[in-house]
Amino acid sequence: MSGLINWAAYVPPHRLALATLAGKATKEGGPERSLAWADEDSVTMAVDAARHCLLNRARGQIGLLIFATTTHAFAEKQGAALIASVLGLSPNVRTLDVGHSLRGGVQALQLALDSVAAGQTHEALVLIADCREGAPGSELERSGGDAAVAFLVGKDGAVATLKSSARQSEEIVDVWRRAGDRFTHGWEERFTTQYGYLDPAIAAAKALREQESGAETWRWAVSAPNARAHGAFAAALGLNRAALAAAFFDSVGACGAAHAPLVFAGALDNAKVGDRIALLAHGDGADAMMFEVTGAPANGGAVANAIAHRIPIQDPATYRRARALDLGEYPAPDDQGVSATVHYRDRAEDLRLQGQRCVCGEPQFPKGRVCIRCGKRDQFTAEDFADKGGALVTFTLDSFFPSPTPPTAVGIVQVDDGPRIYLQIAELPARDVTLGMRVRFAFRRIHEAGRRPNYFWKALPERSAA
Amino acid sequence: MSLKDKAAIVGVGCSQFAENWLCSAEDMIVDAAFEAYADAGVEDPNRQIDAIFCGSLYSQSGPVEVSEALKLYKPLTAVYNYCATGTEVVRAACMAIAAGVYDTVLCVGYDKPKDRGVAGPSVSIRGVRDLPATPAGWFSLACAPYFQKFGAGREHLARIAVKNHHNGTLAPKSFLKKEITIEDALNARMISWPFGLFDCAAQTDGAAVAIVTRADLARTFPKQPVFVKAIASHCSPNPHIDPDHDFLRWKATEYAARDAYKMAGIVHPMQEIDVAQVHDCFTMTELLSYEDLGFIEKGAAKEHIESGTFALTGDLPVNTDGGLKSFGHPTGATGVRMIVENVLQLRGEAGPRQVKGAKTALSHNIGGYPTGCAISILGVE
Repeated sequence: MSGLINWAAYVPPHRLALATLAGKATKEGGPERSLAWADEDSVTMAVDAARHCLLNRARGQIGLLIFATTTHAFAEKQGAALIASVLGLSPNVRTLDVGHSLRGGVQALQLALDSVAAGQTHEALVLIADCREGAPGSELERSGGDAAVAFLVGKDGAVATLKSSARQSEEIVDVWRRAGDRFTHGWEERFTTQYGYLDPAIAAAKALREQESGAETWRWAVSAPNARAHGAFAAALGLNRAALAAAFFDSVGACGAAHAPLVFAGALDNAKVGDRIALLAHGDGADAMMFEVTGAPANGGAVANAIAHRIPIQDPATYRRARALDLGEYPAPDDQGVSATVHYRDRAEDLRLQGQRCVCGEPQFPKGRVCIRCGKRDQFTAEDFADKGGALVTFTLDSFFPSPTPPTAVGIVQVDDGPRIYLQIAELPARDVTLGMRVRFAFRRIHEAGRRPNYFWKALPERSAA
Repeated sequence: MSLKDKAAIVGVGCSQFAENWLCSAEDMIVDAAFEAYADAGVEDPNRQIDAIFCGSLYSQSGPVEVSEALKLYKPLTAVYNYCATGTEVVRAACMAIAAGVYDTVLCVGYDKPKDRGVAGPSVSIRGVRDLPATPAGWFSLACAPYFQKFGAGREHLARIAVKNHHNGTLAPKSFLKKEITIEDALNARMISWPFGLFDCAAQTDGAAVAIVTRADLARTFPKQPVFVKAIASHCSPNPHIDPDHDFLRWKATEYAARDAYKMAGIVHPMQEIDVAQVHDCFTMTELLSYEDLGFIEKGAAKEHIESGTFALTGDLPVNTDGGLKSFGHPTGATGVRMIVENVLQLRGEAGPRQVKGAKTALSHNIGGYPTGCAISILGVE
């Protein structure tokens, strides 16, 4: 049987209190949603979750990478191939994007489990990420959330194995986003909750329960459009509070395709050997799976840690700037952007922070043909620096760089046993930047030349390492 | 080959430096060149000028702008080295003269950045990982380490801005003729910490021209000749990737100064140089240059700024016409403009900002990240 070897979650640290959104005073511990920052998207969040999931693990056995999201920045251009390159997976890896449905994440996981069970690959990596962006003033703006979850699927070393699965497909125009739309639309909520969520979810859950005995002891990791609907689902199945895994409505929000996977990862974090956990996601029907926990996870507490690291957003204007919700004087210029040939030549440097080391020992970034130390030509071995740490040599606080919260800290990082790299410093108030501070690296959107995301690495304060 | 005493400057001209909304590059090139013709007594440029050397960073159509503006159809060479472009124009001319290729050369530095619709330099994005940044973001990277090591701070930068604003009030063609206070500088809006608005050069339009001739022909021109004692250029590694940089200096200046002093035979710059035009694209660049040019010891700028060493009345007046800060910074013109000012100072024609008895004058440009520096040393007999 195939199962889960490891998992990890990434919840963007920026949090928007619902009170702030409503223009009211916030209070400590009040309901809030997670928010991908201006330099984050589903790809960067998936990369972060993947890097946590694969920390200190060999990646050579991964033969399949699936990226599931409804919010990929490109309608045509694969996210999985990009992420495989960032993670340094083998060029022979199968890559696949799954989109268009909120249950795509759970379906991607099912596909990976099937592929491993069928012996098509030793291990598969499933990355599920979504940014639930509601139109200003909409219910979805309040109820949504942003998050990413990673699952490493395999046979050897699995600590939770798949026991059974069930599904229900349904055609319904309940919530949708047309090609080209920015925001999700919905029909009247009482209708969508009943026929778009409860009916298919209950049907799939009942079908799952019928396949195995002892269902009364299962815990349920279930998506829902909001807490009320979540409660209605539990009531319909006769589940008590203890049987329902925490669904993070007041801390993260309903985070789209990543919602059920995040709830499931949280349940796995808190499980003990022998526990059975059902996973169910809705969207154009529902998909359900049941797992039995057979071993202890390698990095427990993944979800709690991801949620615990918070950067509260202080005011609605900052939120609007971060998500580009305000109209500007000019439309963003639709220029060609960075040359695609330059983009292609530089992909290892840009996506993996790959530099090189000369035979003389001198590390170098970016790659060049001639060593800055010994002057020899082409005597280099490629080396990725993204997983190393570093210290800040110098910095400035740039008030010109377009940012939701200027100034932007920019500095030169001395990589441990590595080169110096000129980087932006993220997730730290400008006044807290200090010479010599320790940093780590995170994969982010660096700018949007050509009105497309251009990805590179930023330096983050080391303390925020999960 | 040393370029010492191989060439002399026999005529200079400069357009008004300003936001010249109603002028084209052609207008400014013509203003500066005809002033230089008059200064050098050149009545028939097509007969008396053998070649043109020119430089601009923002030019859309290239060196043809100069030949067409002046209707001067001569061998035309354009050089480019970021903010050092102006000095490089004169250096290239001096090399051509020293090699015996030409006798008399017109050097034109100009730029027209104010037609672009942005205040200050553009935020540039050239590659995926090129952080959108302005020159303020690059030059400010020396501040935090320098401040920590030597105890200087924003108030020392402010004093440089106050000094250059004062000097600018005394130069007829300067852009900003406005005294400021230390408080004005400290309270201005931030550009890139620790640089506030007054720590940054004023980007303007402008053109400056120098006519350079063979040293042995210099006395055939009407004005007192000013001889080129040294003109040198050097580059350094990009500080962003230099594994050894301490951010207490800009290496390009140190390297170019070493070469320039060797060429000119200068051993004690502070004693032997009477007036200097130093590249104050940002106040910190001027501060570091005091040390990188060897005027004072590394780390001593703070006390010299406090005591006024580099003020107009000090031991070594720096940026007597207001510098990039208040005279203005049309990038390609700036190095030539500095040479214009030094020529005026050495001839005793600098009016209320005249440094009495100046015999030796230095000018200095640095540009890029910074990565390139060019220095000239001029002298009169």
